[in-house]
Amino acid sequence: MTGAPARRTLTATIVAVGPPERTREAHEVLQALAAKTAVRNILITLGDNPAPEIRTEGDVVTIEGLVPRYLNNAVARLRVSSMPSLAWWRGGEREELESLADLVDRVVLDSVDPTRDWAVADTIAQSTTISDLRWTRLTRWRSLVAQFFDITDARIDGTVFSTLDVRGGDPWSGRLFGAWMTSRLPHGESLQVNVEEVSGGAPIESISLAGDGTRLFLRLLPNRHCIESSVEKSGEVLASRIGPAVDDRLEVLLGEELRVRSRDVAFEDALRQAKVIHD
Amino acid sequence: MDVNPLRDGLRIEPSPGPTTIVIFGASGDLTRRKLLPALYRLSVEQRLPPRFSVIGIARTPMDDEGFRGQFREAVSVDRQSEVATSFERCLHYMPGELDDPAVYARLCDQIQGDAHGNGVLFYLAIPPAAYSTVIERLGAAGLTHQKTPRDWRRIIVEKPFGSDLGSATALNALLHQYFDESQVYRIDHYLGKETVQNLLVFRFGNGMFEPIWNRRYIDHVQITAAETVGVETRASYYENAGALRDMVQNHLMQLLTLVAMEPPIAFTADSVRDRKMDALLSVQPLVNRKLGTSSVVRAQYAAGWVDGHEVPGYRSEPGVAQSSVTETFVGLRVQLDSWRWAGVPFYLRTGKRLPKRTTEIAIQFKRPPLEIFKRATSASVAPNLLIINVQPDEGISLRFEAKLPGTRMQLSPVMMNFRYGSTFGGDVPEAYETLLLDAMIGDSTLFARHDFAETSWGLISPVHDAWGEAVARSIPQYEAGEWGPAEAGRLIEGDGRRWRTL
Repeated sequence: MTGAPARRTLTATIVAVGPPERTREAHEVLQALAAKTAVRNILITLGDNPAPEIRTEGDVVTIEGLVPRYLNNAVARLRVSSMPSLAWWRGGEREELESLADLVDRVVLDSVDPTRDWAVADTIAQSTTISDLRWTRLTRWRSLVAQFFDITDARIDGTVFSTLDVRGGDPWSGRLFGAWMTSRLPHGESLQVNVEEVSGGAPIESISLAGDGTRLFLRLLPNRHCIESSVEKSGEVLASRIGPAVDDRLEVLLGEELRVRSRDVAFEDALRQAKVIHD
Repeated sequence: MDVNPLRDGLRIEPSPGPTTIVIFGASGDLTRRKLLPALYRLSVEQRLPPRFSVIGIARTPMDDEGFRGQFREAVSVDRQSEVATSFERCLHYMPGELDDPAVYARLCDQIQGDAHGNGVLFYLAIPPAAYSTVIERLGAAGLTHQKTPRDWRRIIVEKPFGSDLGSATALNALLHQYFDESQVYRIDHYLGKETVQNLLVFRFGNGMFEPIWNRRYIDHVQITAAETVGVETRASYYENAGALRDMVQNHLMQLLTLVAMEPPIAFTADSVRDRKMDALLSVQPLVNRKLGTSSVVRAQYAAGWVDGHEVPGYRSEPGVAQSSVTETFVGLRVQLDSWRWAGVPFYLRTGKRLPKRTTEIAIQFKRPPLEIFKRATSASVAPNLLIINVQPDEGISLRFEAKLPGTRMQLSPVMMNFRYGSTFGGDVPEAYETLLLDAMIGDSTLFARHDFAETSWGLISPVHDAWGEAVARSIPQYEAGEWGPAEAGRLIEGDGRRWRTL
């Protein structure tokens, strides 16, 4: 073993599971996370090797080609006992995801195409807490929109919002955001959600919530580091503000997920609603 | 909508409603070094509300642009930073004399011009001598009146909160003429530090420590706040204050009460502050008729070496009188009259020009009742020690005995360390960020209540009075770079104990 972090007070285990093509990126992310946070990291790629190679570099233990039915056994052996464990799910079969969920305190989904994962999310939520990195990326956007509703802002007081337009490079993120709004806003069920895919764009490029001549508009600025939020009434910009966009490096998002212990009902509701929007 | 439905499940903490912060003393050091950087960080973290503004007031002639330039210098941001530019637009400046009613009339127009309702937080970042002027003018201008919950008015008062019991009581009385106690936030930045807050979590979020947190298991407590710096540019203030007023009355008393308090019934401002008050009220007077001030020692630094540099003595510092007897070091033995702490001394020490900058609380436990390893080891076993590092390396360490590997039964003390930085990573918020946000949200848990300030002064003022009456106007000296005077050692050694070597 190399590296210094072994002397630290370990606080959690992260188990990253995914297909081989996503392993290298995950390995780098876990190394970066280990340098900042006292977490034991286990990276597993599934395969058919009955005697898979186990490598340890710094705080990251890597197992390549593990036979799926041994997944539980490997994780149980390597996790830090009595401390929270988080599964970072980067794609795979439903059975493997469900068996892993039985062993960890939190499942964080991160598949390229989340359709299959979202389909079993309700089942997983019955045994452990669940989230999705798409949801974590939306936190800053959700927070910015929520601020306008904190103490009902006179500029939007009484407004019935009727349309939500979300543009971005990841339609699932747009759908999830729309689902969150419809599941949370009063009269949300009548909100018309339009998700427009922007090829090569950031997961979310802009969000526009409009109704009764009022529009809340948020957009990622061309520098990609800032989000501008503004309120318009009858075409006139009443206020605008620029804040930093979310730092969407995977190690930062996972670090954020490590801080959450409780069940995220808003996410679960949004996910159910997202499936409705999708269907 | 009374409850924001979009906050449900949102991981980011609630941000305050529309707020204007009015900083009196906006061109000063505190604003530049602490307040503006803290507010900017809150802005970056998206913790400020959409409708937010700062109005800086000071004598220095300056316009909005000048104030914004001051902000740029304070936070060293890139001129191209859009976030900083956006934050800058919230900064406004109003030059004027603090006793000029016209300033308050203009302020009134600006604040009350917002028809949507706005909370207003007044921040007194000014010399204490000017507090009463500003409070009276705010009151006279009707700026302290809260028409609706949304139009809240609060005031943050910086330390020192008074200079003795009389002045603290008078200041409280003045504040209460114009503000309800719930509107007053007496800031002590120590309470905004992560480790200090963690002390509450450590004690009351764990089941295993509270049962042994008492006279049955604890031998004594040492609280140290050591600085390597000298008086620097604060001589005019420090000459009249000294270490006892500057550090003990507020910071160390706060730490003491957090260690000594009984469990609150809830983590609410009133409950926590009530229990802290109980602990403070149980502190025995520091001066008594028989022993005088024998439980308090004071000293002043002489020339010496700190961090490899030769440094002058206190009396040679700019702005300090040649014959000054102001204490730069204080050591105290404090006893608490309570069921939990009867017979357990709390040793407090603080000083300037000490060898190391550190603030810590050390809880020393009693030795095991029977030393069964006496035959195996020549030295007696080291007592268990719990160290809470407040700064600079925030964390908690526990010392316990372990067997040295080998065929013989040999014991050795080992440390189990928890460090915030390496365990959780990320940036720990500055104390001022936490406290400013709490004041905007209306959470006064981490602020001193009026009775705490007065009771604490009630303990400290008699010591100063006794020193003032002393016939010999002299003060012991310690060499800069040493851990205080010999008298401090004698204070604790007389009880058969020693100061920890830090």
